[in-house]
Amino acid sequence: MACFCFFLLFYPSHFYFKGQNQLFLMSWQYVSTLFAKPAWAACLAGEFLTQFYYNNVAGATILTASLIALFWLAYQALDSLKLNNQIVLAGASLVVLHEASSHLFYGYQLSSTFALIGGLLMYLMLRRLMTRRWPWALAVLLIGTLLGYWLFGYGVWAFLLLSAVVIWRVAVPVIVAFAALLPLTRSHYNLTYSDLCQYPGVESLHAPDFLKETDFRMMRSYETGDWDDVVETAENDKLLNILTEKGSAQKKLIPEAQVSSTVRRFLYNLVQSQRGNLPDVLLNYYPNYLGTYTSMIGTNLPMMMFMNLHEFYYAIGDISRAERGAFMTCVSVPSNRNAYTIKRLAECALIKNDQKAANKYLGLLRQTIQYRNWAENAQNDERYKLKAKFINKQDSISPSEESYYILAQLLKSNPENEVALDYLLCSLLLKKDIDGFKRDYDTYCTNRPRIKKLYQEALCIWLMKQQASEEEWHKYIKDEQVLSRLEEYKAEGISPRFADTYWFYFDVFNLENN
Amino acid sequence: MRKFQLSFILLILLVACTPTPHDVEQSTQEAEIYPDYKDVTIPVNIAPMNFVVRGAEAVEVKAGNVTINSNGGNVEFGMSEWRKLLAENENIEVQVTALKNGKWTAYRKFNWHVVGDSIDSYLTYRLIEPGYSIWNRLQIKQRCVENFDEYALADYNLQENRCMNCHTPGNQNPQLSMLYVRGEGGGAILNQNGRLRKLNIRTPDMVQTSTYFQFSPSGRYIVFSCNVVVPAIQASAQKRLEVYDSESDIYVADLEKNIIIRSELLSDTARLETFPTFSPDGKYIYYCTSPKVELPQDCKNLQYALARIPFDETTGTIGTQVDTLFTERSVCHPRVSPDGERLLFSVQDFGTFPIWHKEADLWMMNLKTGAIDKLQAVNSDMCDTYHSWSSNSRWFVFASKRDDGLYGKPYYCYVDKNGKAHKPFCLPQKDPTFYDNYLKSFNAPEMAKGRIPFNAVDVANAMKLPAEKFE
Repeated sequence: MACFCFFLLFYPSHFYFKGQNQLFLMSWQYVSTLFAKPAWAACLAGEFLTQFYYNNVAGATILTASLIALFWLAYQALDSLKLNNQIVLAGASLVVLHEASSHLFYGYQLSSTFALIGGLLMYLMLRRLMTRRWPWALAVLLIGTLLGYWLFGYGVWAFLLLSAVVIWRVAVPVIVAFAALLPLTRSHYNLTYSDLCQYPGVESLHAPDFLKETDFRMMRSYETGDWDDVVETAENDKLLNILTEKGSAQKKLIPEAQVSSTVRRFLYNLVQSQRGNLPDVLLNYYPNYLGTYTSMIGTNLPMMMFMNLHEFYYAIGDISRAERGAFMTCVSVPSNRNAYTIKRLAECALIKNDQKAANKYLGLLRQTIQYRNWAENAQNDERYKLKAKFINKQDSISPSEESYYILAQLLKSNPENEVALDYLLCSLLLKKDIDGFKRDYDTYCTNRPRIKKLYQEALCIWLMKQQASEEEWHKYIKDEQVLSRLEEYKAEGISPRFADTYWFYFDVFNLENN
Repeated sequence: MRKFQLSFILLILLVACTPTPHDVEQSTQEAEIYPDYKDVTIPVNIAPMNFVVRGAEAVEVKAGNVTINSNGGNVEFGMSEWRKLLAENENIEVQVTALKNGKWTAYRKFNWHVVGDSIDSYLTYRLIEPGYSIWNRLQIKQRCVENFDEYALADYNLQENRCMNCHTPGNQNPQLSMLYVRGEGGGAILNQNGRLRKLNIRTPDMVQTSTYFQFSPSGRYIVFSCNVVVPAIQASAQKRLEVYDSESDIYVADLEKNIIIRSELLSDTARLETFPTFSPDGKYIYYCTSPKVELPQDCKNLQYALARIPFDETTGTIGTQVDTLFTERSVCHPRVSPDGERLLFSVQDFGTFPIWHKEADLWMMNLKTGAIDKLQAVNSDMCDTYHSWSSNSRWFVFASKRDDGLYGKPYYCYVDKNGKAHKPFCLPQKDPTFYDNYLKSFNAPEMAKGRIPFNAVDVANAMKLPAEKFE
């Protein structure tokens, strides 16, 4: 019960993340691919159930049920060795605790638990046969070992170790022979010896990773369209709130927390930009992170950012790069298959009106449980036709990942692309490139004025720098409140009262140190 | 006896459950089958051409004297009946009758033309996601095309997930081949009669390590290009990746003496030279060359011409006279047929990386007359490129993205004795829906006359060897 409650209340987004990091197809053709490696039965059961992790309750339920089954089997297996009841209980509990702890890691798969369950099950089923005369026991053990490895991979070690306690004279030579002969399967399974022994994977003990849980929660909410939750999570996030102590010395974050903070700011801004609020929230975090200076190629980008970059390109309308980012996400996850990314590839194809590619991905998604309905209706979704209006229509080639260039091209293709416009102007402001900002504001906002407090404040800096005429001030500054606050700022100087202004950011924030 | 009875009952039940056509409506329409195997020319030794009838609830297929009834749209031939079918018929008439929406329809018949010119029995390829400049979990495999057996030649699990590319047999000989394993401690893995050598072909004067290579007819030499490859993004949503070379030169390596043979004509600092290949008599090196332009802004002016330069295998010397053979479009991957009669190459609007150029097509030059065949029966509206010949010069295989625009698949094409190229067909798979669900491209398909005599474990072991250096 405690296990169920913990995973349900504190770890639901880990399950969602794991569920997306595979593409289980309801087809025999897909199932047959599992035979290429050992433990196909464990992988089949594990992958089949993992696909339901998209449901909030399913992950905790499935894992708890699996751990209960594991506990019961481990208890029965140890009990069969005629050990003291307390030792049996402790042993079974240790196995389950280790397994539960492993599942705290986002990369640990349910298949591994099923491998262990399978190994224990085989032992319990064959145990009675082992107690007969030794030739009979040897035959049972040999068949059990081969079958166990084929079906359950590393779970066979549980079978063999327990058997060794029952009939050690027969089992020990079998274990030695099995360990010695296992490398012969290397060329069949194409695995290293270590992987052959551990397939489908073992994991050391892990503590709960609540940092990642919040990251995954924001990713899930973003992916599923629950954008209010992204904003709410960010705004209540202690880690991000540290970054709102504007102007004060930045607290040093541990590397993992730095990555989390980056991902969360990135997703928060992504939501706000698509709601037209990016200029309003840009100064919420010091420093902020837009993702516009992040290269997809040749950097040691943290996995979490790597997996989300396609979201940025998709949001701004650069479908070529969104597709490329989605391919990159796919190759960065186990087995190179990520269900959500396949959906993204289908979306890119639909926006580009690339029917052949769309059919490929929609065909795959129709074979999944989570995305089946979406795939059936996606062709008629008007949102993709609307999105098509914002794609890059320029015909140029660039090795550069520099977003300024990309954003400018998107605006050239469609000046109504407000998401691209805000990202372009806000990126320049974060860099304190006031001249560049003014130049692009003139280029893109002369005919379509975008009156935002942030932009007005930045324009004030340019106007003051140029010692502009009153006429020019009138031309650019439309918000009277901005003018009156500017007077106050000039009179009072740098004060936390103005921490929400661009002037404060411009004067106080040390760009070089961040 | 009891087991036999049980099997017999099960068989009866299975047959009884498979619907057979009744009240069939004749249609003049073609059946919607995948892969498109309608009216193709096939070799006598090809694996069963299994296909799926799209949208069918049940299907009956009559091919020659073989009848297949199945639930669902999959049509899968038994190996022995398929062998017999091909052995006994030169022209196989195929009648597809499918149950769709509760109605049986017999579609227009099509034919399989069986030719005695066999294809080389093995095909090697790299399996990679179509992102190309990014990779993870790569495999190089060989497939017996007479059946469905597939074996790994190199596998990411055993190679610490390194980049691996371009397994190329020497003149379709399985006993001579080479592949690259990249990264620290990597090298070229050379297979000579199953013995693997690890080579470090790069010398300090080269701009990059070797990229594209081909063996000489004797197998003593390889000609290779060193390319500084730059990936770039096409802004247009209708296009994808553009890859160009900022530098590229060609060299010849003597695999007996471990020396590099150089020519200023092939490493001209004002030009880019790439995709070298020997002629089957070893007397020429064919390659592609373009003057350097400002990149990436002038990328569209990168026009590679087809050229050749003499080579003497006996002395290992490169000639001094360059002949330019073709300049009409930008040329990639020239490959001469083993009989020396034809040269197959891909053409595109510009550049040197046809994989994302939808307009990339295969063209064929008659080396006796210089005539160009634009292979209209072969090319598609998507990229058709990276081809290689069979040892008897009657077949070539190439990677085509015609099905979905993204994932390259191996297509075989028959070239008859008159030089006419026939409609190509996709490499058959045991489950005909395989390609629908597969998320990898078949990259750089190459034919071999037999099974390559090493596996992924052998390559992993060879990687532990010290690399032989070249001077």
